[in-house]
Amino acid sequence: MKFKFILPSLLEAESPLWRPIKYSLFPPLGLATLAAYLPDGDEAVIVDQHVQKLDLDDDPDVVAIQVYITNAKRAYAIADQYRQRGVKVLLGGLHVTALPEEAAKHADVIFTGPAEESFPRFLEDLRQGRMQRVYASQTRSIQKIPPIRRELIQRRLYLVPNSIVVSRGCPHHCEFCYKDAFFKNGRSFYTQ
Amino acid sequence: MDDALAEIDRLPGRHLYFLDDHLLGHKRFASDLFNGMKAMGRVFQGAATVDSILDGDLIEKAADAGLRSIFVGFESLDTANLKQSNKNQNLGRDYNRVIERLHDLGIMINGSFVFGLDGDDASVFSRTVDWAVEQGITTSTYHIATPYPGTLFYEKMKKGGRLLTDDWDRYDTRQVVFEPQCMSIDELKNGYDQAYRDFYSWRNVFHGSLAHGTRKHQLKHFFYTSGWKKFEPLWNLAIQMRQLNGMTHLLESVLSKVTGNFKNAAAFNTHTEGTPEMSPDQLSDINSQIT
Repeated sequence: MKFKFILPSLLEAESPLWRPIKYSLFPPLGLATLAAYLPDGDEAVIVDQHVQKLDLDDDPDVVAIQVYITNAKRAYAIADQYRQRGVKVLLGGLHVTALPEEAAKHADVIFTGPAEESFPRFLEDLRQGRMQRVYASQTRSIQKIPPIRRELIQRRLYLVPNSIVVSRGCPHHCEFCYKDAFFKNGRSFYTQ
Repeated sequence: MDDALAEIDRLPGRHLYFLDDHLLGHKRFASDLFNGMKAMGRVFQGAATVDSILDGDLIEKAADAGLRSIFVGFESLDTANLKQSNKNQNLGRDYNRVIERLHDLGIMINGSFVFGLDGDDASVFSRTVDWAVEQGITTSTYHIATPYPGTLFYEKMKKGGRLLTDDWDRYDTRQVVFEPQCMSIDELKNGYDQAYRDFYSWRNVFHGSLAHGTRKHQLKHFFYTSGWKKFEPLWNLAIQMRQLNGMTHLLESVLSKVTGNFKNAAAFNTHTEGTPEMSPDQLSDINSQIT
């Protein structure tokens, strides 16, 4: 199967005050982490719209889109276009977890919370033909996860290609932070 | 832990950026990580809280392992704001001591601040900027308080009837999307814009650089801060040439060590303790990529 992972560009990345460098710092590590769960033989491509052109005239089997609050509208528009052509669309990320009902209108499948456990569960369901609409994070661990697929990231397009994450979440609970919403119903701080 | 170290080992070059929310959040893990990294000769950046920087000797271990710049969420100089936001890890901590400790270890600081919490009035902007410049904070990131859906902050604003819009496009931390308590919407927006202009004015970039004890740290501050905000055409060119990775060498050299025994502490290009600064070859390499 052909999987396409997309990070749509944030809206502020197009404002007149946009500083291109600010959006060319870090590659989409989350998407590269998920791609590592695909079985051998599946194809994967990652498109980060901040640094690459997003071509929608292709024919992947599955499109997975990472949704933040300020790329949500764009993410939904991309999702709608692919779904019209019968491509399966998965949505996940902070904004999807905060507002799952909103996101579900534009997706075949939504993921809430971190997806290191739910994404492989989804892949298994997909193969067995019993795909669900919602995959909520159940157990949480990043120990012994497959190595991130860095070869899918175009290193030369980023100032900090050597970005790395060795933990998830934070031990604190600031009221303005997404963390508690994203890690609801489970551990909210754990390490590799 | 072994997986983390193996992943680090696989990364080419010297520079790393840990995107973890809180790199010092788990003491034993962080300590093992820094011990494991010690012999790797890396320079790295990351984020941590005020309290974790003051607690024990973890930050020294981080510096020994190559930590050269840290993102710290100071958020607010106002205790009521911190309490209201449940940011208890900042409460009762002496921010000046945090900064002193980091600077003594040669670690640059990217301070993050939020404007518009209920304790803020229109005087918050200049107070916050002046403090950061005086303390020699290298780069500042400012945000207009933004109640993201799903957070307690959002629920409070919603309950109070203070949300101005549910157009998520405007929730970018540069626009005001809720009714502030002690200033007008315009004051908040204009004060935020002014804070960025003031912090990154040439005058303050110089002034902030001079807050450091050694000439080398002063220069490093100066190049890092001005490089980040004052050389936009250069960054844009590197992006257009699709050779941004070439600039990473430059970053590595600016992040090289500033503490320790220097043969000549006054020279920015001193080679010390096997920390290679950028060679003339590398420089011309970068020049050829961007010109």
